[in-house]
Amino acid sequence: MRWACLSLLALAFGCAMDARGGAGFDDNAEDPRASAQDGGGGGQGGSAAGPCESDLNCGEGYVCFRGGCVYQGVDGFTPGALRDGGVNEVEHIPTLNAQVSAGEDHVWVPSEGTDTVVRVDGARLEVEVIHVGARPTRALTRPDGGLVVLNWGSDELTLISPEGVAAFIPLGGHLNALDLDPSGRFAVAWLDAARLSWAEDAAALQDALIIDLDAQSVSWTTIGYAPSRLQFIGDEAVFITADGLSLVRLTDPPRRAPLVPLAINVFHMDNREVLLSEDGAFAVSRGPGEAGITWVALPDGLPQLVPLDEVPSDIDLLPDDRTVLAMYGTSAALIDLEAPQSPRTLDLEGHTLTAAAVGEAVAVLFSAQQVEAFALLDLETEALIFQPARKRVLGASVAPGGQIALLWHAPEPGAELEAMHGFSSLRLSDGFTRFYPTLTAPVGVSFGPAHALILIGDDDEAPSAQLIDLESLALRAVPLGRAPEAAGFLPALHRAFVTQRHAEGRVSFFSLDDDGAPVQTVSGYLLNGRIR
Amino acid sequence: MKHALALALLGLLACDREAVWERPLQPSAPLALDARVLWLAPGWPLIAALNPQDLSVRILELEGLAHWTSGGGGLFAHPDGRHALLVREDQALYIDAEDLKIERRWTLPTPFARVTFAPDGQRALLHHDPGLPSGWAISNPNQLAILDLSSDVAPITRALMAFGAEPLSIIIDPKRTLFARERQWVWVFSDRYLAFFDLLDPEVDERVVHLVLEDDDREVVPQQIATLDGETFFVRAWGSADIFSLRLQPEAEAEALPRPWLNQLDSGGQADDMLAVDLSPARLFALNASTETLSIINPETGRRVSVALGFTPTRFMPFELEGQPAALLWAEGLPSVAFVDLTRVELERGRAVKLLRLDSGVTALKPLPTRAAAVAVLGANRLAILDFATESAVPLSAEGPIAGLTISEDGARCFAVVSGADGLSLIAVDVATAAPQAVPLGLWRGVLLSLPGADSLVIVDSNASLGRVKVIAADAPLEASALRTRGGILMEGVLTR
Repeated sequence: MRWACLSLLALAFGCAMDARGGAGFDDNAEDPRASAQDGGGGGQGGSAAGPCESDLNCGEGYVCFRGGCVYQGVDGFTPGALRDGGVNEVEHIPTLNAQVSAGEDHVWVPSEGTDTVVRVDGARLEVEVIHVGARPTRALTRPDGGLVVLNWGSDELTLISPEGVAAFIPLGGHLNALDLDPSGRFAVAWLDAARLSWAEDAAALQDALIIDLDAQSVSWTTIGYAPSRLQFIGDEAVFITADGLSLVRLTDPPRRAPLVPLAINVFHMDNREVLLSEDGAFAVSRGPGEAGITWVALPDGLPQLVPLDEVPSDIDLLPDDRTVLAMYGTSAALIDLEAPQSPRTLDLEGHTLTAAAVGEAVAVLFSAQQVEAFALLDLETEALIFQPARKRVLGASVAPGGQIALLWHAPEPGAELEAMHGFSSLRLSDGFTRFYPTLTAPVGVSFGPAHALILIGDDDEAPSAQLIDLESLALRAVPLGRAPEAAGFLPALHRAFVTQRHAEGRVSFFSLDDDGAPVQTVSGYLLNGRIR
Repeated sequence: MKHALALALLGLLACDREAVWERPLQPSAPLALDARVLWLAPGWPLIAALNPQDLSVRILELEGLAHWTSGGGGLFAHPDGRHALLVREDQALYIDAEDLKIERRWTLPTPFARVTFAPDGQRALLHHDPGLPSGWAISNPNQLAILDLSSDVAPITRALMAFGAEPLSIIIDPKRTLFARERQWVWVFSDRYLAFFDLLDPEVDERVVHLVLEDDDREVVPQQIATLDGETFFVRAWGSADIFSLRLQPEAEAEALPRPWLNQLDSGGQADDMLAVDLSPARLFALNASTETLSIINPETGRRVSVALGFTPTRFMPFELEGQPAALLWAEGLPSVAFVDLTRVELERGRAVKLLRLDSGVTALKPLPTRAAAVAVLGANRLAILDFATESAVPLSAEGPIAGLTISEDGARCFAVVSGADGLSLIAVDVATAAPQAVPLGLWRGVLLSLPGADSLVIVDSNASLGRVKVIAADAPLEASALRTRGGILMEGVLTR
């Protein structure tokens, strides 16, 4: 059914794209840059990749090279001479780096220093210390309540059952990133170049390991150069690499498709902001110096450039999964991917707004450069309203449900309020904002079904967690003993947790419903593993 | 003169025992029990016991023990106030001080320097002096001996599991029933870890709790342990800003020791002292001199309330006031003392703290029973009656250094000795009126001992090597006629020995 839908979508894009279940995926191809498989005909250029005797056998943008079609780019691209808004989004959103994973009623905390994973029961505060491999760096909760752990130091995976029984799967190579597909059956280990440390084994820089957790079997597959992100779409793992997109179908054994180019210029494939549509039908991207956005149908389309007046500084996909919002300073554009050559320009009325965050029906447009202004865009009517901001907006995060956004503010030169950090909760439906000044910059945010939890402070600056009710925007400050590291929600208990910086481990739990209920803290739990 | 004559006579009568008299007595510091004062004279060796009520002295010659002039061991007061334990090389002697007889004697496998008694006094734990040589060619500082003081059975010896350190202190908990079994925990503190075992079942392996991770090079040294229910114990340690909470959990095997579950409670910085109080629910109080705060910790949740003190006390002095827990906060040398109502301070914070600023540092402090008051020694020569109800401090000046501050049982008077130019004086102060009294004791240099079992105060003259005391009934008026003197204590019965 899904493939049928995708075929319809491909037709809607005017593509001759085959159903994704068939063409494109090949478990024999060794060189992802030059597939010998019959292509499905990407974009507007016909056959994209496949065996060839001459260029005539290849699609647009491909050159026949030693019997195979190799992507070489599409003519007609003129590098933008205009202002480059930067490839990376200019917005700043506090991001948590601590590797903590939550189940329905418990928290898993990997401890690199002790080669253990600690399970803390969020109701009874009981602690279980489970020995895993060397330097567990990433832990992900499975839907059944178990855990999968990547042991960075011993290159093995530890599977922990819901009962706490550990099983080990050697990886056979060094990888530093781990993701779990939504079904929880497959784990994908890969090497994130951005996380590589000095002298770390980087031999697997173009490898991905697909682990069938049910069968406890592992399969290596080759992907593009220097993957930076992995996203699951259906039963496919999509790697964003410096060579383009690598698509791997999660089967046992896995199957992969030829690389999907992201840019019309083969030399501009790296360092792009890439968005994937939720249905996996296409990818949209922007690159440095490109006055436009590029989109490509998946899995085997040809990149298409939609020219814009300026180099966009941010792109976002709207909830319809078909419209792209591109920000480029004093104006913005809405590009309907079903009619991409006719972008609709939005006049920002003299405001310079360079970034956006998209809610369910409204997008918030802002600029980290311009002080004290943001705009709300009604995604249905395309009406714009402009609002004063309490402080300069560094970034925006939209809460699940798309009704509330959090604006992250920057301190300004001055005294007291001006010099403080802070954030605002913004109701997207009417622009009502509530400003919360803070002494230090928020270090992270976690969203639950009805709450946002913002982590503030370090050991010396009144560390706390700020719990916001996303309905009423009421805020409750939860004081913490130590600097917060990570936070999350335990749905079965209606509780939240915050792990904190502490040599021997520290986690605090508190109720989401009962303001008067005490904060409960467990600390030093790593030492429990040393009790004889 | 009388002693010289006696010695000369002895020399004539017992010339074959001349060697004894050539040896110095080397009397130990007096050991105050409930109703007796004991001296150990290892040079001879003997123990002398003074009954302060009738000034009678009895001598116990330590037969079977060679005299000694150096090395470890000594006389240790038993918690019942009646007995003492003498430990010397391979001997341990359990002595009834009132009848002055050896009740039991054990042979030890190795010499021990220190004794820790169980609170009920049934058992004693013999261990080594941390950091000091045992006096033998080689010894294991983690070796212990357990004496059942009610039995002649040979001591049980055991060596604790060690991690490169030796025991720094040992604490024995009262007997408790835990998980349907009677237990008595022995807590052994070492650098970076602690161990515990059951004194009633000493053959079972101890539990070891490390206070730092393997790759953590911090010096974390346990200092203090407290419990309210016998199931959860709180450990304060130097080098840690947290108080360690150990909740004992039963093991499947009934014989095995319960396994502790460790939690760390943020105490707001290095805690200098700790107090566990059952306020229904339990609360932990921690003093943080570095931050000048008192932390009140809910041990169930880890929540901490911090109360600014404005000074840097390092010690709690807990007491009860009309059945409610209270404490004095102070530090030696600090010119401030605070009274804290422990039942109110969590809610009322600073309003439940009464601070008295003094003009010199406190060197000794004793709370007065039944009211929010205390007596303090300030510097060397001053005494002050601190009344926290009126937030007043009444100073009294002495002509010389004050020592041996003692409060009478009813709290009405305090006693001390003062060293002045004309010798030692015993002083008493009526704490209600601050009216002082003094009686001169002569050219003495001494200490003041309180013996509640004998209702007596005993002033020991440390200038007198043969033992000399003055005794006064604790409730007697302070006047020279009430003082009785006894000298030559260690020479008692010398002619008949």
